[in-house]
Amino acid sequence: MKRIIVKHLFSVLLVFICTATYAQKNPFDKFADSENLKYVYVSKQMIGLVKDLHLPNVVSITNYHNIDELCSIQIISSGKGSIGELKSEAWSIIKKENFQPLLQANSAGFKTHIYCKDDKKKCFVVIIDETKVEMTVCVFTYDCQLKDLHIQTTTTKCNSHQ
Amino acid sequence: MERLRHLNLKKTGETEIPKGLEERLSMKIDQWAAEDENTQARHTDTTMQPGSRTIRFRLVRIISAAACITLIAGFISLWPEYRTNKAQQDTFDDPKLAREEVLKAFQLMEYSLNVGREHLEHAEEITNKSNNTLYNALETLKTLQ
Repeated sequence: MKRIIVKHLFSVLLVFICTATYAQKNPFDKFADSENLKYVYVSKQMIGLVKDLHLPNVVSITNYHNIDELCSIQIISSGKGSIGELKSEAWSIIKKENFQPLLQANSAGFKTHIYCKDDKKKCFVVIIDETKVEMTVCVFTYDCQLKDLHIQTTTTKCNSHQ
Repeated sequence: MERLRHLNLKKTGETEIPKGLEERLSMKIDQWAAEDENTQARHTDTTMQPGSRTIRFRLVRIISAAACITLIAGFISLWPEYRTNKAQQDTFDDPKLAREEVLKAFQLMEYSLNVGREHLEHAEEITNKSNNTLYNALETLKTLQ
């Protein structure tokens, strides 16, 4: 009788453990439900479609920023008056999930931070662009480790604040 | 039929019944009745006792049914068709719109890395200047010696 009950309990525990281990989420997923913030998600399938889309007089992105290993892109940007909410929650996630700083720069009132984290078979690269009025958080998820990334940049300056 | 004719029916009525047969038969019948009552009583007693085998089997059945239901619920929750994560669904259905956002994200990454590179270049200039001044100072010391 006791053995039967123990067996059943063990099977139930096994099911719950499986669900717990499978339930690993991106910590930035919670911004999808926020009403004051703008949340954009681009999946691997959509990135594949975008990669194959050739438009005239537009830069091709076929071999651009390890696009084959890119799993997803999340862009979270604050609107007017919601920078406080995004700032507090984004920094709390970075501290809680132990993201490692790659770059921190401050120029002409624009603060730029790049953080990274290796998580089993994936790595996250988080770029935070901050001003007094607005803030943008960009999360790149790659299907490889950080050491395998070879991000290429052009020497020309890109103004992303247009 | 011939054998039946040979039977002397008159004599059958004259057979001797042993003494006390009726009493013994009635006692036996009473004994059997009492035994039947006892077995019925025992059967009813065993079914009403807590912790009896039937109640235990019922409990085991209930527990096993509950465990099966939880297992099935667990498998259904793991089934990807039934799991919808709103945060990991494409925001745009049009690839052109998605492309614009992807380009913005890449441009932001490039801008951030270029800002860091500018600072590194500036730091490199300063270190090169300091190295040159040190080298010049050492050269003048050598000439003086």
